[in-house]
Amino acid sequence: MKKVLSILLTAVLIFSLAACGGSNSSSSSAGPTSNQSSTEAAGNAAPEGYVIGASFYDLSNEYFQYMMEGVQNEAEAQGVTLKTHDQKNDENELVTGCQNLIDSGVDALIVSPCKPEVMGNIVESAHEKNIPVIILDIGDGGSDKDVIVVSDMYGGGQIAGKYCLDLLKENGVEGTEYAIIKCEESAVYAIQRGQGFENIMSGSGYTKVSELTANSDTTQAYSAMQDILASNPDIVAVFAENDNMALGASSAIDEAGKTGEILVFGFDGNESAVEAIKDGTLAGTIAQQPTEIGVLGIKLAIQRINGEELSYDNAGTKEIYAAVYLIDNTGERNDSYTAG
Amino acid sequence: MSQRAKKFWLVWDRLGTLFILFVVVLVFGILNPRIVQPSQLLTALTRSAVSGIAAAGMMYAICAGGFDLSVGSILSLTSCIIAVQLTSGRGTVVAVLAALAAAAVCGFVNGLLITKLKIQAFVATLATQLAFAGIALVYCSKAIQLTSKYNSQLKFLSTGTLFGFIPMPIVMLIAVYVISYIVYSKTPFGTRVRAIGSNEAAVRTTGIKVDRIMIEVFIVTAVTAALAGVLNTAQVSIGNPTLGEGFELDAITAVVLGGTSLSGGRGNVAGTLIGAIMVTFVKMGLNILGVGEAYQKMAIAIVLIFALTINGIKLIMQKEEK
Amino acid sequence: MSRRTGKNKPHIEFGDHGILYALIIFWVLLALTNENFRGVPFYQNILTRASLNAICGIGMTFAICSGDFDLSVASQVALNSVILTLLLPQLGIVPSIIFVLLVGTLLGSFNGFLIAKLRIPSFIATLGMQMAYRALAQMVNNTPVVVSDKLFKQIATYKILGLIPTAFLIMAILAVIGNIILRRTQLGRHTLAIGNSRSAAAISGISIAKTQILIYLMVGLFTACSSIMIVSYLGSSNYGMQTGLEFTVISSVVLGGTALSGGKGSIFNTIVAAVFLVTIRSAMDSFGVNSYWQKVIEGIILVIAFSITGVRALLRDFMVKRKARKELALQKAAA
Repeated sequence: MKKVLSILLTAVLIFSLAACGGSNSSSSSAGPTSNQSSTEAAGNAAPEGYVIGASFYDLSNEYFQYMMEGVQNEAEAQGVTLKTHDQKNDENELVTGCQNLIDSGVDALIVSPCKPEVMGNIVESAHEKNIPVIILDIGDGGSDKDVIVVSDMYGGGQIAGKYCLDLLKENGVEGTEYAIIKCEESAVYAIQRGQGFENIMSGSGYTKVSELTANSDTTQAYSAMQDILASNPDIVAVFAENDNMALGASSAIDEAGKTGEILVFGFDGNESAVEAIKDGTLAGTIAQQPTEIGVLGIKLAIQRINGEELSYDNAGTKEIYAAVYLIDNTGERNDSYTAG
Repeated sequence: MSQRAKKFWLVWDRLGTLFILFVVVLVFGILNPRIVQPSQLLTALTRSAVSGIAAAGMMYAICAGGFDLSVGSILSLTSCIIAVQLTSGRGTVVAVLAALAAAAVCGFVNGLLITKLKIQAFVATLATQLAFAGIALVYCSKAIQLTSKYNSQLKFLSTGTLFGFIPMPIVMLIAVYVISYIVYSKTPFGTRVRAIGSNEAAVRTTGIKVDRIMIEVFIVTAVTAALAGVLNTAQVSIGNPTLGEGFELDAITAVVLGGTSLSGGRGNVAGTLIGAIMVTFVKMGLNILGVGEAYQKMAIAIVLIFALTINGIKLIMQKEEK
Repeated sequence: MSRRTGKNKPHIEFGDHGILYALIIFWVLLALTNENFRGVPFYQNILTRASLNAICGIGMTFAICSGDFDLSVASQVALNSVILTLLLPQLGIVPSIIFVLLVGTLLGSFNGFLIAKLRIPSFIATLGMQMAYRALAQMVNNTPVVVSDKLFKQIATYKILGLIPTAFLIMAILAVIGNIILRRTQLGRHTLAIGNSRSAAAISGISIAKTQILIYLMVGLFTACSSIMIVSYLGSSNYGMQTGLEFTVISSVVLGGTALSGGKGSIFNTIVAAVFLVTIRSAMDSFGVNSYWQKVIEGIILVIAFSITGVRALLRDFMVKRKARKELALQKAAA
């Protein structure tokens, strides 16, 4: 009897929270729930009547919040109903959530997968019901998706490297040592960022003296940076594979009094990183375009629902490239650097 | 067990963890002398302050027979509160006090769940770990960088020194442990915590308000976690709702390595400090050696298991004599 | 039986299926208020997903019944899974599965050894091994591996007659086996006895060390089964997978009524609780609850559910005290 009571309590809790507008966090007005239909744009957009499911890697992460904003805005503009899902960085949630979306009869599935390797099953399951699958960023895990919009991680690292070289020359710095702070090994796609940076730097005669992993953790990056400095006090640049780590590293450098002497670069283009750039503790970061990627996702989904053929940047791998761009040390976008 | 063995274990109880620390330092020193340079050792000490401070509080929870899995989330929450307050223009002192107050509330909630709702500490703090993390995210969904405009006072906790040469983190660490030692061995609170951990039912019959003490214990744990969070935030100059993810493991490992018994009743203040230093030192040493991710994990696991195996051998020998 | 041998009788209320009724009521409520919960596929997904955890929960129930737990199951799954995906293309389905079951047994036994022979408290032993097994998984293979064997992937996803998920069926069979072990074998009786009172069990001649090793061996074995199902479900492996699984599984066991202090437990309830937890997640997703609030809500739900025993105890306390006061009043009146 007591358990029954607790369950009812639980249910009441959930309902009341849902009723109080506990919709997914985003400033966009289209509140995505399975019960609501999307709010229409002012009557101009022809209502498609389509239902699109979108599943995101981890909505507690700024990057995917922007991506969802893009998806929501475009869905609203196009008049499609949107159902969203948060994987919370859990591969089980990824599979279950996508399966639920597939089963609830969506017309297309958009996924930004936390663990791309599980996409194989999901894509098969979706295609059995003729549901096109659009993958946004991260990776496709070798699955037979309809299209993947991919940010050039490797190229982004290269851009950071090129900018780094320029800044070093500008400042007349003579040293040639640099270090890389890496994400955890299981983040196979983020790892490419460091590889790109290394490609440019080592290709120009610089030496990588240290490469430590900080598991995407700010505090670990702070400690790693201190340890790198201890053994390699003469380094001139550090590249961290994401902003969280870059900011931890830059703090360590700041405490060592070497801000400006050692250039720190990050990746992600987070608000906090831009703040740090303007404050002078970070030299630059590479921004992806999550919002644009989200918007593109909806557009591609609608195209596929209509049965249209897509035009790929790389037909063999069904990739469409989303550009990444540099945010330089003024805190502004700088398009003069490209990958390659 | 022979008299000599008994004496050995007595000495081990007091100094065992210290001995293991020496062995560890020695090993690393041989592998790379740079690791044991005085400046490097100082860095290790400074770096161990964050987990050490939280471990000091966690010791009480474990001593009382429970533990607190939510300290990581409390640390994240602390970091967020400080960042939001600072960037809204409030002073550093106000921000820090607000964070500590919030942590006290969290500890109070933990204590309530465990005493009044009779939920086991493990599952109660598992639940609050989720809840507090969620609250941190709701309060502050994106990381907030504390630029030089905001962090100048806070930075003192990380880079400042006392008397010109003792780093503030170490000052904080020593202060916390001195207070903890006094509380643990010289105050009624400490005695009662130990008693509750040994035999809660017996203590209840004496009329001592066990529930109140347990709540106080969890408030202590939460506030030390918050203090650790203040220091951590000062170090990395950023308020981040996921800053403390996985932190509870560091705190608990330090306490256990220090010799505090998981069944409660026997704490070891100095041991906890040494445990915290040891874990930090091993991680630092491995970083300097350039050891890969997987092997670092394995190394910590081995240190833990090794330290506990020795403890286990002691228990076996004690059992045999009975 | 208990009277003859004098051993502690496992006092589980066999009629205590409260959580099952609760689950059914919950489902009915959800079906009434949310269109997702009116489709069969949705329930199939919930049951499939819950089965993955529940299989591990079978083993964990044993551990918790004896008063211990195993925090290393997530890492065991990672290690088992990586090995499995590497072996599948080489050895084929059946040999790979057998090998992984052996590995799981080995891992479990090692845990048991640390806890039983070296007397390391289970919390710390399994905490340490959690790191070690994860590190091992990373050393074995540090990149994700995708499974291409279609037949293997069917194990977790196939639906018999289009209706019953194979995963659920396999889980049910394993649950029955687990239940038989718990209720009808000596191992099961000893497990519960140790959980009830370790000293009493020792006095009655039960070999605590042997029982503990067997318990953890079973945890390892069932976790290995879970790993096989998970790899089939995900179609891949990654050394970083399933982090946090141990807490989901332990929550299921405790939610199902098995007390952390040991001595009573029900595998059936563990399974139902696992389904319940997955239902909560799905419900929150279906109602579009903000992801941050989902964490808070899950925490609150766990608190509510875990506090049931506490609330019961409080009420019992209150009733006892009231009765005592009444009797005292009566005595005084009679005097």
